[in-house]
Amino acid sequence: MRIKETDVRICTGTACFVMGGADLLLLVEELAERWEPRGITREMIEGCIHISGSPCIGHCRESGLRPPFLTIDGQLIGEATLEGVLAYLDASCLDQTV
Amino acid sequence: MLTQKNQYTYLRRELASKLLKLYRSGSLLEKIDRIPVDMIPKDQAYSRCCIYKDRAMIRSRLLSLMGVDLEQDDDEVSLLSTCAGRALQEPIAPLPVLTVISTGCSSCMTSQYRVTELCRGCLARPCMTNCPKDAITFVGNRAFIDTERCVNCGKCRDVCPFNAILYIPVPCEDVCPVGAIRKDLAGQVSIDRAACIDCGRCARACPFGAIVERSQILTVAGKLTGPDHVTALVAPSVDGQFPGTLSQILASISSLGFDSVIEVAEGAGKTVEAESKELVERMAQGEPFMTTSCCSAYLSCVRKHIPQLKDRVSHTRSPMSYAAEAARARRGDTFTVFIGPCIAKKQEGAADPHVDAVITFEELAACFLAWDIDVRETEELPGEPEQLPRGFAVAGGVARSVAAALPPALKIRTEQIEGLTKKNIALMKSWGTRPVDADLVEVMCCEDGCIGGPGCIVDARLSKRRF
Repeated sequence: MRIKETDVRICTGTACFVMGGADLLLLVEELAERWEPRGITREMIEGCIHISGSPCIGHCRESGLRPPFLTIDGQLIGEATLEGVLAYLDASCLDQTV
Repeated sequence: MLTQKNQYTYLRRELASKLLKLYRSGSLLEKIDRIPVDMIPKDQAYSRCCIYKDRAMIRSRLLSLMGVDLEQDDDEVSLLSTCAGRALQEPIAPLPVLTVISTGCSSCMTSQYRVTELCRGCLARPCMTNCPKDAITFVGNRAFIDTERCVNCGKCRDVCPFNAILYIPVPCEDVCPVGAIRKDLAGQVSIDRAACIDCGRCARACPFGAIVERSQILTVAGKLTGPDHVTALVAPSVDGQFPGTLSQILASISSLGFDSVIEVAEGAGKTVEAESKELVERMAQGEPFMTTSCCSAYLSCVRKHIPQLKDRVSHTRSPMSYAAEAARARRGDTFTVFIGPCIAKKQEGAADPHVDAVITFEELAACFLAWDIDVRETEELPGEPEQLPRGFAVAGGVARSVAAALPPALKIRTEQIEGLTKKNIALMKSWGTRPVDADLVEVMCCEDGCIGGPGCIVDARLSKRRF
């Protein structure tokens, strides 16, 4: 199975971190567990899904959305939850045709 | 236990930071009465019976954040601004630590197993066969549990092939390891102070947030913005509770206005030294075993529920106590604030002449938000962090530190109690007559140790990586 190269940036500003962002940092572990039955290893995930922490991007002040924030390939997601991100990556990263 | 990934957790954090933001901007008295209305506006869907009840809950939570003992000192009439004015003028005595929002209690009645309509009255009826108390009868082809006989063992649920039997818990009661949760005839909760060990589990387990810890954040904020010298005593478990390095976290605490930031791990050094010396002495005298003494909930538990272990508990003081004493020795008039993962430490701190206030990491986070401090963007403290026994923060860490400080020739057997559960307390009670086969027993009230404490921000699975 092919995994689409994806860039995930998790805001590590204090507000995001405290309002649930800390849980997002378990993303790799959770992905590895979730995709293991499809024969995808953690190494494969780390090779394709580039997860990084980003300094506060200021959305907690500017947008009407609530923290925590992250971006997936530049697209902003507010009130992010681990479950929501997992479902998103399921749909966008896994090549279902193979 | 209720997962801490829930809406109430975020509400608690948001309210604390809102309160402190108003305080910092100098508009607390002017604007605090608006918070319940702003948070629960007219057109919002309500979560209890109506917006007015939701607002009343917010009011109670704000009072607890100001330190008010809701059961004793809330007349239900005073405006939040009046209460805030009072709290600012004179700090409120912090005990008892836990207080009940009585109208918030959903009056869960009793924990019980109940047969649902999924029961098909099958031929095999394993529920009936496996019930040790003959509590199951069949009425109209459906199982029925006689609550007089039922002992809540759950065997019927485990064996039902249709998952037709449900356990209906009372969350606060289920997590309380010492039976301190009381219910009146209407199911309203109260805390039996004589039995409570301040572990704080009930405050995190109630899905309605009806049991809350009283906070000292307003007092601390007052000191931080005032002329007094203020010292932060930071528990080692702080590492990993915020993004960034330990040095950045300590620097952020400093930038809140603390004149001195001391790691409690410094005090842990003294605890290790004294406790290892004590262990050698006790072993030489042929005593059966010794337990650690740094966990305040455990000390209360022994005092109130396991008197047979009284003589087995080390007399060594906690790292917080040593660190606070050292802070005072450096500067006699400093106001000391312990910052940790713990609710029980609020009780220990109130009894310690060298500790002036105790706040949790969650309350610290509210300060960072109100002061607009981004931990990961804060410059590190100059110099390399000192080598200190920070391993105290995780289960097993205290025993390891003490064992490592013993004379090299002395090999000891250690045992670990990780989590003061009903089961573990029963086990420890049995040690009164049949001593455990160990020399040193480390007891931590919380699973995973302090990093699993009720005042933590981060899932222990994540923070564990730092230790």
